[in-house]
This record gives sequence, structure tokens and C-alpha cells, in this order.
Amino acid sequence: MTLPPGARSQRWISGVLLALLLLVPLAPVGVVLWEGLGGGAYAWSQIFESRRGSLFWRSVWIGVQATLWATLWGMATGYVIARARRKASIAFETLSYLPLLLPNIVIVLGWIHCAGNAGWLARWTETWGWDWPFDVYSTTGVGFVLALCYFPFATIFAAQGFRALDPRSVQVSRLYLGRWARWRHMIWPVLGPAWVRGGVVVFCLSFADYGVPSSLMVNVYSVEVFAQVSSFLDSQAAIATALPPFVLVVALIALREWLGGPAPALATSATPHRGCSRVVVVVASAALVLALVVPLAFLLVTAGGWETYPRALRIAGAQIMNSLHVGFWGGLVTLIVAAAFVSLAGRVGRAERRVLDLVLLSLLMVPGSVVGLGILSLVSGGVVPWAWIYPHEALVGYASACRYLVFPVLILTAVRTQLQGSRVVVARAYGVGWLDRVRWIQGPVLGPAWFAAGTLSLVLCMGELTAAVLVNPPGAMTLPVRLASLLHFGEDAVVAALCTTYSVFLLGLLLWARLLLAHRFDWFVGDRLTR
Amino acid sequence: MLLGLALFLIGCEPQSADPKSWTSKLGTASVASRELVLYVSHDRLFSDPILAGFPNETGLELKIVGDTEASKTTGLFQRIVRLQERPEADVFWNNEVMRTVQLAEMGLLERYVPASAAGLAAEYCDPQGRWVGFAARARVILYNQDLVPKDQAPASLRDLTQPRFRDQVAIANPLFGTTASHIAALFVLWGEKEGRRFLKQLRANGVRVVAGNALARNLVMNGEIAICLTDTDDANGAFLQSKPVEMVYPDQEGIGTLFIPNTVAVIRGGPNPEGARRLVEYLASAEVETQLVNSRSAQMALRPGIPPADPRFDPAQIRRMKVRWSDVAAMATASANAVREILLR
Repeated sequence: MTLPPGARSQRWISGVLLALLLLVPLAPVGVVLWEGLGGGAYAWSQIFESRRGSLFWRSVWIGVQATLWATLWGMATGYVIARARRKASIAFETLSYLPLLLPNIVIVLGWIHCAGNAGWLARWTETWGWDWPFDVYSTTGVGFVLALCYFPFATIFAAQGFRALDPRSVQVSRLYLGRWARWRHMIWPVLGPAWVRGGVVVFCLSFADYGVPSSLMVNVYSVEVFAQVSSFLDSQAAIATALPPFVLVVALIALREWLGGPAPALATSATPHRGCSRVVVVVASAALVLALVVPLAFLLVTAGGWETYPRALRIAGAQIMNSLHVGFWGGLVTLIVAAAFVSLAGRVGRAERRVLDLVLLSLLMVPGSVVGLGILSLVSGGVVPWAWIYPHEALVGYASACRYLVFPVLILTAVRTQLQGSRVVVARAYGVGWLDRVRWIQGPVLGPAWFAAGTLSLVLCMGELTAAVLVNPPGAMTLPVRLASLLHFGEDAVVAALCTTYSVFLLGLLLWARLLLAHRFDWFVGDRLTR
Repeated sequence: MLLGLALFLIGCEPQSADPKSWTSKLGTASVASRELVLYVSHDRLFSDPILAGFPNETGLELKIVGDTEASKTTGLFQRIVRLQERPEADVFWNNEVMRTVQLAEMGLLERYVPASAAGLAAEYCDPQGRWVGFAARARVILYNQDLVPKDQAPASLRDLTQPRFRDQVAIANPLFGTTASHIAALFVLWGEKEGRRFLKQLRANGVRVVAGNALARNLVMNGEIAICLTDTDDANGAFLQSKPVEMVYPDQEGIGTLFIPNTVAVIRGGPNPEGARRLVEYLASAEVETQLVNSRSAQMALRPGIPPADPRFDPAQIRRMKVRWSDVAAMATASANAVREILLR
């Protein structure tokens, strides 16, 4: 298709601006890449050695298992969020963020206490004379725990998909379409991209995770990348080791395009449909129970008495405030940069969008320590603005934005395609003001997605650890760094009390914000009202 | 986007509004700083009570940068290496020694021998005066008494390769931290060939590799696994929780037990060299060593005359491994390559 001249030049300009904007997250990684390619005598054939091959395929298998579990739970939870009554929907959505608030190590320790060789379940089955059948210290166990850590991402995309699907249209189509045809032409084009997007994100995070497999005594490929960066200080070896995951991301993007593609903007009904299948509610509830009850029970038991909580706040209260500070401002900048990406990506072609997705998803495979090292190199080289900003908490938020920019970009891109631009044009033609257009047309579609993207950005910035260790300013340690240190020095009760306190506080804050927005702007829960 | 960036920078207040301290942080001026920046591997629970006793008549603001166990080798070490052209820190207080030796070999530490270090064993200090070692931990075997009877407990590292302990031994990742130092020290003493054979035997016996010493200790404490290799401070954490565990100093009849001291050094080119030397004098003193001995981390004094807080951690009763830390640091890459090739599969 030949583009008109105006559109062609707009596409070119948007493409150039997009490339420049990519420098924001890519600069630190690019510096490490440059250093690595510049020197060293690494034998690149080592990336094909059999030991690495077996680690690579083990990590792939773990990622597949985690994705399957997470997609199942994410679909169920997303369905409930999209279809349940307002307050139940908000409660489900807020609670589903809890796994992201807890450090992964806490979730792992909770499951070791629950399902380990000497855990609660093993001791309970022993009283009946049975052996506990589930080995948490296996690839299956690792995949299961990773799914519990990362299924909220699948939930967010699934909820978006279900919100875009009008069940009344599906109902009407039963008059003239069979089940398979209904699925293929009505349901899959809307839900498929959501499922696949969520699955790809969960897979990338599971593949790149180092902490959960290490804690469950399973060796994985991400240890190789981390070891090259930290143990050997060999940037060239680190780049060579990171190549196979990059190729994997390319394959995932291709798979996503083949399976899903962009979500079409379907007509949505004027009023929302509320009502859930009981079976799905049970599955969603079970997922939340698994994700919440086990780690929370572990935290409460480990924290012990109430006197631990004030002690914990005295020990690490300053770090909580630092993390909130970093999370809020880092999350805000992440959201703003993501919005700029989405806006520009809407003006370029499909090929350019695929490249953007490839670059941003690849950043998930980069260890946070690489981002931190790159920032330190930029600072040391006097490169502006990093040298000006350092040492400052802002760089912790920036490091997190580099790694996790892909999430708000994916969420906002997916929902942007569901917004019918023609409605906005017609409203403008009828003299509807921009505020009313935002409130009654764009807001109902974009609002929940913006809330989800903002929440994710806040939570991920607050939880940044491996890069924060490298770029924390003196005297301003963030909470994840302090928690890791306290865990090492045996202050498990303090760690448990801290995690419980700030998780409950943040969940309460998110719930309050969501309810407030829903009360003041009743379109915010995805209800679409027309006048 | 520009508005957001501006809000971001306004919202995050700079650590100090003093322009002199900003230029000193950039390393562009040797202005006397009102700050003293310490990189420390200990958690603040342990370092704060010690630093509270630092004589600070001139009112220096002491700023601390901490680390985590899992990132011991990427955190503070990398910050010093990467910022060597514009150092931000004055003093490095490490709770192990290998990375300090590597920093010294890279020329990033200043030569300074504090007067307070008199009495410290020479084998735990740098011969060229670039770092000082004090208050050590030992590498020990920790086992669960419910799973391993005392008369069958391992007494040496080679016992961990015996079939009766198959799939029952956990170690922290030997690429990082004190476990990396331990493996490198064994390679120095036994030779590379014998070291590799030991790793193969461990692997054949189903040794489990976990993220860190504390996690390995927790698994033994909770009965998930029978035996682990860990440090005395982790073992003490288990004792304080009254868990059914016992500790063994390995190879008391043979090569001895590895002692890993704390190390402190002045960073070359730091913003406040005078303050740095005063802090190193204080940290290397007998007073600080005594505090570490009496702390929860149950460190062991390397100068005579300081009694242990717990008789289980009496260094006079323990046969120590004789090894030079410069040799250990030189062997680090070879041992790490062997670990990756043999153990991390």
C-alpha cells in the first residue's frame, strides 16, 4: 500500500523520534555492549558448549511451565476482574498485585515452608502415612513458584482482553455461528493477542529469573549471564552468553505475531456486562489463595509477635520512605516515557513496532546489574546527564525504567488499538469538548489500562534490587537492598514484619485509590456510560 | 516528557545542596569534604553500633553504602572499579578478603598501615600495607542433628563426598562470596587437578547449589537438607534461634579450617583522605574487633587477648588453614571456571 506523502514523512519523523527515545533505556546496556565488543579474547564458540545448551533448554522448559500455569490463573483472574460486580472486581484486581509487592525470595521461602521436604504439607501427609508427592526442588517446582510470582502480568493483559470482548455480541453470534466458528472469528481475535502478550511477558521474566531457581537449588541459564557479569568481569563473555536469550526473544515475537497480532477495535456495548461463571471464579480464587495465603502465612508466622513490627520499622523505616520516593517518581517517569513510546509507535509501521517490541522485551533478559554497571560507566565517563544526576535516587528509578519500560508500553499499546478513533472524530464534529471526550469516550477505555500501567511502574520501581545495589546514593539505601541484607544476616523476623507492613500498606493505598477513582469517575471501572 | 523529567528531579532532593560537595563527588576538586563515604558489606544492624563509636570531633557526616550477599561481587567491588576515575567512597570495609586483594592488585587502594593495627596477625594483612584484616569468620560444616547423628557427622570437606551424604549437602554458589574464596583456597592448597577432582566428587554425590550461605543454613535449620557449608556468623544465627544444628570446623587433623577476615582499606583518590585514614584507624582497632567478637555475627579476633563471646568461636582452639590471600586471588579465575564447568550443570 502506498502512503500519501504527508503520512510518509510523519512516519519517518516518528521513526526517528522513536529511535532517539530508545536511547533512554538502551544507553546503559549499550555502554556495556560497547565495552565488551571492544576488547577481550573470548572464544565465541563457547556459547555452543553442551553444558550451556542443557542449561538453556532447562530454562526454556521452566519458562514454558511457568507460562502455562500463569496463563491459566491469569485468564481466570482477568475474567473475574472484567466481569465481576464493581467492588469485587476492584478487590480482585488489587489483590492480584500482591505477588509483585513481595520479594520473590519471600514467596520462595513461603513455599519451602509449605511444600518442602520438611514443610507443613509433608508433615501433614506423614501423619497419614503418605509421602508428599510434590518436589518443590525441581524444574516443576521452580515453574510453579515462578508462575505464582509473575501471573499478575498475565492477569493484567487478560483483563484487558475480556474488557474488549462484548459477551452480548458473542451471545448473538450463537444464532448463526457454530462453537468453533464463534471461537475463531469472535473470541480468539480479541482474547488471543491478550493471552499471547501476557504469556510472552511471563515467559521472558521466568527465563531471566535467577533468584527463584537458585533458592530452589536448580541451576538455570540466567546464572551464566549473571556469573559472567559479576564473577569474571568479562563483558565480552557476558554479551556472548546473552545472545541465545536474545534469539529466543526474536522467536517469541514471531510466535506472538503468528498466534495473536494486534487486537482489533471491536464495538463495545453501551453498558457493561457483569456476571461470572462460577467455575472460573473458583479457579481465580484458588489462584489468589495460592499466591497470597502461603507467603502471607509464612510472613506472619516468621514475624512472630506484634513487638517485631515497631522494631522493624525503626530498623528500616527510612528505607521504606526511600523506596516509596523512588517508586513514585521513577514510576511517573516510566509512565510518561511509555506514553511517548505508545504515541510515536502509533504513527509508524508494523515493522517498526515489531523492532520496538523486540528491543523492549530483550531488556527483560538483561540482568539489572548490567544496567547498573552501564550507568556507572556513563557517570565515570562524565556523560551528561548521568554524571550530573549521580549520586541521586533518581538513577534507581531510571534503572528500573530501563528494565521494565516494556510493561506500560505493552499495556497502553494494546488498549490504544481498542479505542475507536472514529467515535472521537464524530464527537469532535458534534462540538463535544475535549474534557467530555476524555471522560465519556477515551477514559472508559484507557482509564483501567492507565491505572494498571501506573501501578506496575510504581511497584516495579520500588522493588528494583540488582541495579539499585550499584547506583544507590550514599546514605539512601532502598528497601529491597536492605531486605536482602537483613535476610543474609538472619533477621528473618524483621524481614517478615517489613514485608507484611509495606505490602498491606501499599495494597490498602492501591485499593483506596481504585475505589476513589471508581466513585468519582464511574467510568473508571470500565463501565461505559453514554448520554 | 520534559515536564515529567523536571518534576522527577525536583521531587528527588539532592543529597546535599552544598556545591563544594557536588564538585568533590565528581572528583574534580580536592576541596575538604564534610562527608565521609564508607562502603561496607555488613548490614547496618552490625555496622551502626560500631560506627556510633567513631570519634567524630570535626562533625563529619558519615554516609554508608551497603551491599547484599548475592551481589557481593558486583555491588561495592564494581562501584569502586567503575568509578575509579571519579571515586565517591573513602573507605571500603569488606567482610571478606578476596575482592579486597583484587582491588589492591588493580591499584585502587591506597597504602596506609594504621597504628591501631599493631598486634594483628601479619598473615591477615597486606604485605604492602594496602589493606588490613581483622575479626574473622571461619568456613564450617553445619548439620542438622535430627538428620545426622553426632558420631556420623562429617569431620572434613572430603567427607562431604561420601555416599552416606548423597543428595544431602548444600553449598552457596561457589562463584560468589566466601564460598568462592573457599574453593579458590582449596585449589591453592591441593593444586588445580586435585581441586577439580574434589568438585567432580561433590557433583557425583549430588551436592545442591543454593543462592547464598544464609539460605543454605536455613535449609539445614528447617530440616530440608542435612548438611551445608557455611560461615560461622550464619551458624551463630542458627544457634541463637535454638535450632537443632551443630557445627564442625573441618579438617582439624589435616589442612585446617579457612579463616576469612574482615578487611578495611582506604580507597585511592577518595574525596576525604584524611577522614578516611581516621576511620581506618578506628575500624582496625582492638575496640572494634572486640565489638565484632561480642556481636550477633560472632566474629573471631585475630589479635591475642580478646576473649571469645562463645567458646564455640574460640580461634585459639581451631587449627587454621595456612594460605596466602594473594595466591587465593590469583587462583580465583581458574577455580571459578572449574566450578562453572563441573558444578553448575
